[in-house]
Amino acid sequence: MTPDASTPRPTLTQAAKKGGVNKAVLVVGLVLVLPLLLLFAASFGSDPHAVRSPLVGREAPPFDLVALDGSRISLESLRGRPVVINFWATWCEPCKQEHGVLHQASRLWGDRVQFVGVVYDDEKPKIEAFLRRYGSGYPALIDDGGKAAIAYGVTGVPETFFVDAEGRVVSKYNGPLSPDLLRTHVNQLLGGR
Amino acid sequence: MIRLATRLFLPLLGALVIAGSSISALANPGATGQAPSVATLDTTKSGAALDAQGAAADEELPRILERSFVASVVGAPNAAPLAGQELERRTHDVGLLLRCPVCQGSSVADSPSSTAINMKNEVRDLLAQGYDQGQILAWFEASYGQFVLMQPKAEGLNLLVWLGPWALLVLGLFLVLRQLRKLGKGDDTIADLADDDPARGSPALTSHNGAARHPDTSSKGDQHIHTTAADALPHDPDLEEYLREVRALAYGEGSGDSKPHGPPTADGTKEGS
Repeated sequence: MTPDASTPRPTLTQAAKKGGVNKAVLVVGLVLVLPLLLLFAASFGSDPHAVRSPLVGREAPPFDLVALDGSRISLESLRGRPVVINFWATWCEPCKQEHGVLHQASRLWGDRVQFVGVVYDDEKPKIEAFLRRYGSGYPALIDDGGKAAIAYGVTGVPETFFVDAEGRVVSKYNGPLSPDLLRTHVNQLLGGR
Repeated sequence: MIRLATRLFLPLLGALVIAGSSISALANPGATGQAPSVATLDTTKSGAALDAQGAAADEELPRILERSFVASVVGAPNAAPLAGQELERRTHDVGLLLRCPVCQGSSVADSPSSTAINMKNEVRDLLAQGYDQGQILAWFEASYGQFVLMQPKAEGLNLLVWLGPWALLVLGLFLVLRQLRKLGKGDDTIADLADDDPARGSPALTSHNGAARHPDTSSKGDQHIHTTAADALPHDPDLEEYLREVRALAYGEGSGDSKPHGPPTADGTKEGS
């Protein structure tokens, strides 16, 4: 077992470099760790709440809800015009800020796009007080029992769905819409018009 | 003149009597002991019925719309409609499989939030219509995505979640078994060395205090094996050489040779060198 005396002995550091890494351990470690690293890398920077809605590209779930003024409004009755459906509530702070944006937008694009608010888990007197204070530019529909919210997969408020004239969901946004974001979505809804 | 007065007065009186009876009948149909006029009753009834039908239709329309949409997504109900205790039991069971979207890791069955209650009501409604568990989960998944399922489907990247723990368990068992086998082999080698060449003076037969021992002479066999296993030279010629080198550095020149070796003695000389 004694090495040939003529052969120069490598130093301990050289030996560590030569045989220091067990290839099998390295391969197994990479197999285990690499997928996790890739998964983390793919997820970093993305909003964990921004789950892509499976409704995008599909027919929007129909609804037939009572508006605050007692009239009934169904999605079917709005067919032929692009619709912006905003789920909101009076107890939702970001909704207050967003309400102003939507209110202005309904004035700006109201002739081409129908804006509809669906009030989620709320009470009529509070809704009336809210709209008196912040303004009312489009119908506020009351979703009793949250059936419309469930059909649209609403996970919180505000959430906004953009439905084209044929009744297909074009896009969805979770959270309060800024004027720029709303413009982007509406332009997409109008096909770049 | 009398004839004219009679002609005018009598119809007027008749009209007043009829009107009076009609008014009292409308106000309190049972008070006179007579049945109210059929015409009046019919008119009232049909008006109320129409209103009721209209209201019912208003109430029913969203349900019809919703049901037809659910059917368009998951098909017609596959099971028998449930009711009573069975309905409640199944509602809870299915609720356990659905994630409450506004909670942190709670199921719909466990959460007291209004969203979870609404979802539970939806589950109850669908079970009462005859939808089975698979259809109900598919309906919620169509709206919320797989996020709403407490148990992710075993497909795509989700397979990592399902198979990962088992793969790690198998890998762990393999490593433990391999290590155990190595240890077993190491013991055999030591025993072989001891049996075959007790005079070899290999470190395998040398304890840390430098005294060469033989398995037969050891009164504590287990301790002997443990001690010698740590000192055994590996089969790898390169590694063996380096080990000798390290030992020579630690214990002095010559300790790496196949001679008994030990720590320096009190007078500075090396035992076994």
